Amino acid sequence: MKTSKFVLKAQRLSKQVTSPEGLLTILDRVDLEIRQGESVAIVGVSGAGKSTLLGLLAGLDVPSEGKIWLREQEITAMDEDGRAALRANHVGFVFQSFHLLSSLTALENVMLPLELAGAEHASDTALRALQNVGLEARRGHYPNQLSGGEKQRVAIARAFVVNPTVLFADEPTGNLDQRTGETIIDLLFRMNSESSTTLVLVTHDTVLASRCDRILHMDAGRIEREELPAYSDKPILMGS
Amino acid sequence: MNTPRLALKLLVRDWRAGELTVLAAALLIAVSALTGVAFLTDRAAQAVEMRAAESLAADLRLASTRPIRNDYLQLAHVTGLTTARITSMPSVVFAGQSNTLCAIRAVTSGYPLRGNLKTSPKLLGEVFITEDIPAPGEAWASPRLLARLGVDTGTVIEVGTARLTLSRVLDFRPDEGWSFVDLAPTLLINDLDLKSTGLVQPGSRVTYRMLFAGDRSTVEAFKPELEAALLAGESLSDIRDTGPQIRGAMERAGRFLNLASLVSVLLAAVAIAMAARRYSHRHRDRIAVMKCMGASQSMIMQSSLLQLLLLALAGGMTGSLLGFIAHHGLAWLMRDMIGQTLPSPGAAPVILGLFTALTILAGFALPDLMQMGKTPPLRVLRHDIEPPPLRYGISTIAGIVAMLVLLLWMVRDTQLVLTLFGGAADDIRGSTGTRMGPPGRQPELVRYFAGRQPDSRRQILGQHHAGK
Repeated sequence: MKTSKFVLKAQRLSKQVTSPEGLLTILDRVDLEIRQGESVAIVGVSGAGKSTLLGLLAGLDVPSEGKIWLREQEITAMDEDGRAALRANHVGFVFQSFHLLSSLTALENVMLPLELAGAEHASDTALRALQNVGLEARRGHYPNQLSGGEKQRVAIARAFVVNPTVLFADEPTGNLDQRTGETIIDLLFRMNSESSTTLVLVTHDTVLASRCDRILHMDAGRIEREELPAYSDKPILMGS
Repeated sequence: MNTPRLALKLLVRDWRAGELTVLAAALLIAVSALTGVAFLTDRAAQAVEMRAAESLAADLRLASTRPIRNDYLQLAHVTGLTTARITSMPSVVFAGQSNTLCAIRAVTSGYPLRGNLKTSPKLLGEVFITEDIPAPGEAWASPRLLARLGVDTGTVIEVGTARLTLSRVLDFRPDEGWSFVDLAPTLLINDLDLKSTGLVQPGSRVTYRMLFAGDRSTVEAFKPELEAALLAGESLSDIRDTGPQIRGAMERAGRFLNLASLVSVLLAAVAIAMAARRYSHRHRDRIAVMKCMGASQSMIMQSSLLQLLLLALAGGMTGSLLGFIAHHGLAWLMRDMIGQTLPSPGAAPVILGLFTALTILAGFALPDLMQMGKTPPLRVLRHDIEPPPLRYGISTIAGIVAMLVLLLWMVRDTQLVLTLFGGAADDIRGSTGTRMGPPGRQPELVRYFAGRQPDSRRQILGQHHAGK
């Protein structure tokens, strides 16, 4: 069930870096509003600024200009520790390269965000999350003992275990074969639907993008156009 | 979760996954090498000290050519020390028609306070350790004295105006010296018989000695009190003044062994630095992921510091245990040189082990781990992003400081450590043909260990000799 409340909002967001060729603009005055429970795909060619936008929205980086609000809190006004605290409570991640910790078992990887947040009964909660992705039998296995699909399922369990407000996914099927990728997409959207999490994902995968409520096409650091998938009847909610 | 608990959990998980194996192995080698030598030198030093105390027959010995005031005895008894007195003089003793010059030593009960007398019931008889002294009316003579007089035990001898019965052969006393006055054979009598001999008269060459013994701290506290009360002509000796050659050699050997083991520590420290660098490189992604999940910079730093501290404690204790086991092997290899049962080791080597583990981890691993903690969270999306580089030379400076601190801790001589550092630099300059001194000048370290120290160094090493 979608509401009209914006959970994520960006205003005139720019990111510039210094390069040997001079000042390089990676993001150029991007405006964006995402509602709670919405799923948004950010697509575009390499170098279009997709991952930079994702990093800024998640508070992993700071913009050169512009402001970002997450749950009505301006994260661009926070310091690194403040943004970390906000991420601990409201943000989950799924990465292309999984980013599971090699020295931790599957269960311990899922437990980690709970432990960082100081949650009680982290082990029980994490085990339930592993059951949700069908990997409770692999809880004692290390990442190097899991297949690519299994690693991503563990990563999804880890992302959802803290019930995040927003889930950011960076090319979640990028390292998987097509069949495994489809399984992961199904799992991601099923869990997103069950937990009413807002989903923001960066992808080249058109099948994955078409499952989202909105598709934002980026080029040269700007959102060039917004597309509603063929079967979607959601209204366009783009700031600029 | 509180940071210490999380740090412990992560450390245990890293250990279980084998992430710390190289780091821990390097740490154990460093600590066990140092503590192995430290345990052995500690025990050997204790043995030397005990032997030195025996050569005084006490922990402290007060000597004078005039009778010593009883005030000192009262002062010693108040502080809980045991005491004894020796009055000695050269005199001629008679056995029938035979006579010879001997060193008479009149002693009180308790003598000797350190070490034991060994006596036998007759010449060439079985030797026993005894805690007694001659009873009044009796005397114990050394075998040389009996041989010169041509008598055995049971004979009555004349000592001054007293007639004493030779009841035992004095085969050994711990304070036998090697000076000229000790060349005369010994006759040991009870102090209660001294007056009846009539030998103590104006002009007699009498030496009075008072002995003190007790636990080390009491003796150390008592010594300055006694020194403050000494009169002219009274001199005080303690175990540091005995056997200076042996003590000096022992200390130099201990320092050499410590420095030799420092080489192994230095090698292990390099291994630790490499292992820490590898560990920090491997864990940058983890730090980025943890920051993504909400871990703050301070939490990461505290967690890294705690993990390092826990690793140092565990490595220090385990390394000390390995060092303790290894020193038994060293003692076995050196059994012919040692030639006696060594006393039990003290706790100092364990403290050295913990200190070593902490110092080399702080000096060689901490900079990289601290840098790792600054990994930006954005690394999860852009793998080419690295933490800010360490400021120029921080790792090198930290390592040099760590080694300097370790050297100072072990050698306990700032001037010597600085000389060694300077000497090492001098040796390096010499070996590279850039010697600054005059031609033919020996490198400092070579001269030091060859025992041909320059005057300033001889003064350093000869501090123990001062006051003799």
